[in-house]
Parts: sequence; structure tokens; C-alpha cells
Amino acid sequence: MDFASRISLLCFGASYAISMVAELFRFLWPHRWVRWIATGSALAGMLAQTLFLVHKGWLSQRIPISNQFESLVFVSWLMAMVYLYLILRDRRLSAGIFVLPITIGLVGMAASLSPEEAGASDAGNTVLSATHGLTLLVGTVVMVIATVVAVMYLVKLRQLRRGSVFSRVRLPALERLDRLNLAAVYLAWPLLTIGLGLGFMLHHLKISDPKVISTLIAWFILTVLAHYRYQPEHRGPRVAVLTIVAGLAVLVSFLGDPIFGTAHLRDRSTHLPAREAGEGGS
Amino acid sequence: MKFLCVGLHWKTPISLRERLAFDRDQVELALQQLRQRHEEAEFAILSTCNRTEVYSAGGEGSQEIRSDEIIRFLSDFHDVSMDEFVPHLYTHENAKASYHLFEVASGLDSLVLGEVQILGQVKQAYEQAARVSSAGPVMHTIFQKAFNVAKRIQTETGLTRGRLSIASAAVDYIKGVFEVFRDKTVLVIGAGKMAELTVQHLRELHPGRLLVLNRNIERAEAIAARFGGEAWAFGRLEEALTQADIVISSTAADEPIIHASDFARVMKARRQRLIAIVDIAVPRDFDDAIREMANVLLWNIDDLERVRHQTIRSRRSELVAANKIVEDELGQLDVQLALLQSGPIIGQLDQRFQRIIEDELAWLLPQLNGLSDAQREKIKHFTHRMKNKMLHAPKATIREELKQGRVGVLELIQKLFGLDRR
Repeated sequence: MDFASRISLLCFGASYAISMVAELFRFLWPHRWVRWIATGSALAGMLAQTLFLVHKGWLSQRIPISNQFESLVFVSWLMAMVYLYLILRDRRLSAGIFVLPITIGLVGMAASLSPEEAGASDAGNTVLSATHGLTLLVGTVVMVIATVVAVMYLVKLRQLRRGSVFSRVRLPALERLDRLNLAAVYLAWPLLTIGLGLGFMLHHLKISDPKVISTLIAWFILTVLAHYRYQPEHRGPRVAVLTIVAGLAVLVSFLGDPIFGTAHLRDRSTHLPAREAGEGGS
Repeated sequence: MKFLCVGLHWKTPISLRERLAFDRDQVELALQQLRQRHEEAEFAILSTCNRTEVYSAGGEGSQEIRSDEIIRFLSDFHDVSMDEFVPHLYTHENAKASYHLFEVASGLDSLVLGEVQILGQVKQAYEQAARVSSAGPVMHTIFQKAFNVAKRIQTETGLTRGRLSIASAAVDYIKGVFEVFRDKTVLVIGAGKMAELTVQHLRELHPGRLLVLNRNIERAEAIAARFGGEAWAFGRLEEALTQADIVISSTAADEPIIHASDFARVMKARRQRLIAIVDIAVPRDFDDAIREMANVLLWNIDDLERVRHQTIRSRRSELVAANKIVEDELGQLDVQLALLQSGPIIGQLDQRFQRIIEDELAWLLPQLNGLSDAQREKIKHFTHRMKNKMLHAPKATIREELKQGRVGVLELIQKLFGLDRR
């Protein structure tokens, strides 16, 4: 674990950045070495980030999602995993240019926060708190995936309409992107609903809190999207645009604390029942 | 070792290509005859509708296989006068022959730039040669490298991407829209030659259902019967459009058969389900305003023609990258062939030292009277050990130098120790 303690955000952030540069370079020179560099760097970053998270969890003896810093690192880790899955499944896919900017952005945002605030919350201590945190985080990741897929859908549609069948930006067929979008929306909605429900149940959240307001707005847009998707008539570019709007709203609510300057996660410990608030933490 | 290629390709008149082509049985017979003439050499014959090439490897100095021998063989085998075909022949030797084979296998030397079928034909040529034991280690190394080059070019460049016919370009468009085809309905409107050709290409996607609509129902039935579809009367056009996912339209109508307002009704009936329409009719069968509708992808003949030109342009633009791969792999092949050759040279080196030792022992041992057999054996064993220890470092250096691409080391060793240059 001594080795893991020396891993910083810069280690895996830089690895993902190299991977991103290699992905961009692939458009100019689609050599296998460039692809290997992209995949290898992402794998190295993934390994470093996994060790980083395991170390964090080991030290605090809980899932490392108890503050904004850890949540950002955790979500970026899941996004990197999505990128690796896509690129290893279909090496020609231009997944990197869509997924890696989000991963790098999240790592960059985490770098602007203090990891020392980590100990203030006990959100990861009880089963319900852990479920609350995990469902929200996984739901956010799934919604970000739905957004990425929606962007890919619009790009692919534009390619097909403009007649560029063999664009260097290689994307799956429209039908597949639509199915992925549908699956992601239907998975994200219950996850985020459960997560929010548990949040309201566990913590006495103030309705005036901008983070809470933005979360409710995001959930409302997502609910409209899920309902919209349920009707077969509603598909295609309009659904893609609505998904992007919903995805951005979810992302804004997830990044609520740094954006609105609030301290939702840190404040949570003060709202926790005494038994919970007294447990664990550093 | 000499690697030679003698052949002719698509620039040669077809009448001559036909006379010099080998069928499957003839290839094996020709390879056997060549092996009878040159027992130690290796041969392979590539014969397609666009080219006939004979590859040979092995033999140096007086044993070297010359191109005129191959030319004479071609003339004798096919009973065609040399004067007729020699002006059309090309001959490549060693690195140039390997380069040529790499280009052939990857479609760089094909009539249709980047065609992929040729790779299968080159593989077949090699397999046939291997089957009749006319391909040995040199052919194996060079052909395997050629397959590797072709594979790299296919995966790392866009040289083989795209299709060059209108009908196949339509298939490329459709593959960008749908992923699964077994649950899709293809509707063909019109029963002309072009529609038939497009359906032929679409069959490779294995669509679930095929509907054929034509004003003349008998012609629709004929196409439907040929491709395993259903023939529908032209009056059921809107119903067919409601059910279809992919539409190929090529009627001879003077004006659009479907207007935007009609199609809006169709889209409502199909609950906005995604539809891909390929309108290859001139004048167009589908009103151009339809392409603006959501969930509709409509392409006409101009779009397909553009894709065809795009493919040609894109393939040309990949030539530099493809040639770079060929050159890269050619450098690696030199090293591989040198390593292959180093085995016999190292063997010769070992034998030369062994001969010296035996000569010297034959001189020394009779002079040492009173030695027991055990002592004599000890001296022999000592000289053998000394030889091995002395040659260990040079052998390792040769292999290391070859791995580094410095193939000249073999020639140097041959010169230094007076080894057989063959």
C-alpha cells in the first residue's frame, strides 16, 4: 500500500491525456502503434486510478465516494472503464474522443478540490448510505454514457445525411446507438430515483439548497425523457437532444457543490443521526 | 539465395492472359515440373483472371534460377511463343520481388486499387505450393510476411474500405443505419436490372423479409422467386412502405411516386420508426423534401455516386500509408531471411573448424606414442570443447547483428572463413 500512497491524480490524469492525444492522432495516422499507445496509456491510468481508490478505501475503511473529491475520482474511473471496454471490444471505434474528455475533465475537477475534506462525511458507512452514494454515482455514470451515445447518434446521423460513409470518426450504426441510449436511460432513471429517494430519507436536505434544486430539476428532465422514450413515436434526433439536456442536468447536479459553492456532502455528516455521525471518519 | 518473380498482369491483353493462365490442376502439375528441373529450389504460382506470376526461391551461382528459364517454361507449358508474351512480362528479383508480392497481396497492384479478393488468391497459391512440397522455408517466410503486410494494410489504412459499385455503396449506407438485419424488411420498388443488382448485394446482410413491388406483377414475382421474397401489387405501396425498414426504389416513373405529404402519412402509420431509402431511379422516385423528415435517411443516385468517388479518392489518399507499411515489413523480411540463411552458414563455419581439428589431430596423434585410448579420447574431447568455446561468441554475434538488421555480417563471415558462398 506504500506504493499506492504515492499515486496522485496527475499520474492517471496524465495517462488519460496521453491516451486522448493518441486517439486524436489516430485520425491523422491510424497506425496500430498509435492505437496501442492509446489503449496502453488508458490501461496504465486505469491501473493507477484503481490502486488510488483502493488505497483511499483501505485507509478510510469505506467505499471512497464520501465527498465530492472521491466521487469525481470514482465517476472518472467508471468512465475510463467504459472507454476501455469500448476500445477493447471494437478497436476501430472512435470512442476515445467522446469519453476521454469527460474522464479527464472529471479528474481535472477533482484536482481543484481538496482531498482532505474526505473525512467529514460518513456517507459510505452504512448500507443505506453506501446504496445512496453508489446508486447516484452509477446512475450519473450511466446517464453520462447515455449523453455520449446521444452525441454519437447526432454525429453519425450527420455523417449519413452528408454522405460521408467512411468518415475517420468511426461510430456504430444508428440503430445500435439508439438501443444503447434506450438501455442507458432506462437504467439511469431507476438508479437516480432510488439514490435521490434514499438521500431524502437519510439526510434532512434543505429544499433551498441549490444542489438539491438542481438535482430535482435533473430528475424531472430525466423523468420526462424516460416517459418520452417509452412512446415508440419519440425517437431519433429529438430524443438524442433531450438526452443531452438531461445528461447535462444530471452532471450539473452531480458537480453541484463546486459549481454552486455549497457543501452538500460535507454538511451531510451534521444531518446524520447521532449514531451514524459518530461512526468512522478520520 | 535468389527470390524471383516473373509474371504478367491486367495491363496484358486478355486474350494473352487467358492463354497463359493456369487452372487449379495445371498449377500443381507445373509446380511438379519446375521442381523436377530445379530440385533444390522452391516455387509458387499465382494465377487469377488478372495475373499469372511464377515465384521461385533458392539457388545461387551456377545453380541460380534465371528468369529466362521460367519464361521458357511458361512458353513450353502453355505452348505459346515467347515472342508473343515476353514484351508484356515483368521480372523482379530479391527485395523487388518481395516488394512486388507484398503489393500484390495487399491489392496495391490490382486493377481495382485495394481489392481484397487477391489476398485469398495469394494464400491459395501458397497453400497449393506447400501441398506439393514446392514451397520451403524461404517461400514460407516471404509469403507469411506478405499476408501480414496485407492484414496490416487492411486494418491500419483505409485502402480496402468502401465499395466501388453503386449497388454496393447502397449497402454501405444501410450498414451505417442498421446493425441487425434478420428482423428487417427490405422493400424493392421496381424490377429493373439496377434493383436486382442492389438486392443481390443486400442478400449478404441476410434481411428477414423481402417485398418486391412492380407495376408488372409478373416481373415482381420473378425477382421475388429468385431471391426468396414476396411479390406485392403496386397498389399496396403505402402499406409496404409502412412495413419496410429498407427501401430500394428504381422505377422508370417520370415523376416522384411518393410525395412528402404521402410519406408523412406513412411515417405516422409506422410510428416514426427509422427507415433507410435508397432511391436509384432517374428521375427520382421519392420527393427530395422527404430527406428533411426525422428518422428518414434518403439517398439518391447522386449521393451514391459521390460515395463511389469518395471511395476512390480515399483509397488513393491511403497509398502513402500503405507503401510505408510495405517498406517497413520489407526491412523486417531482410532480417528474417538473413536469420534463415545464417543457419547453414553457421553450420559451415562449425564444419570448417571441425575439419581443421581433425586434420591437426591426424597429424599430431600418430606422433604421440604410448598414449592410451582414454588419453587420445581426452585430447579429442579437449579440441572439441575448445572449438565450441571459440565459436560461441562469433555465433552469438552473428545472430545479434542479424537481429539488428546488419545482414552484411553474413557476407563478411563467408569471406573471412572462406565459406561456400552458395
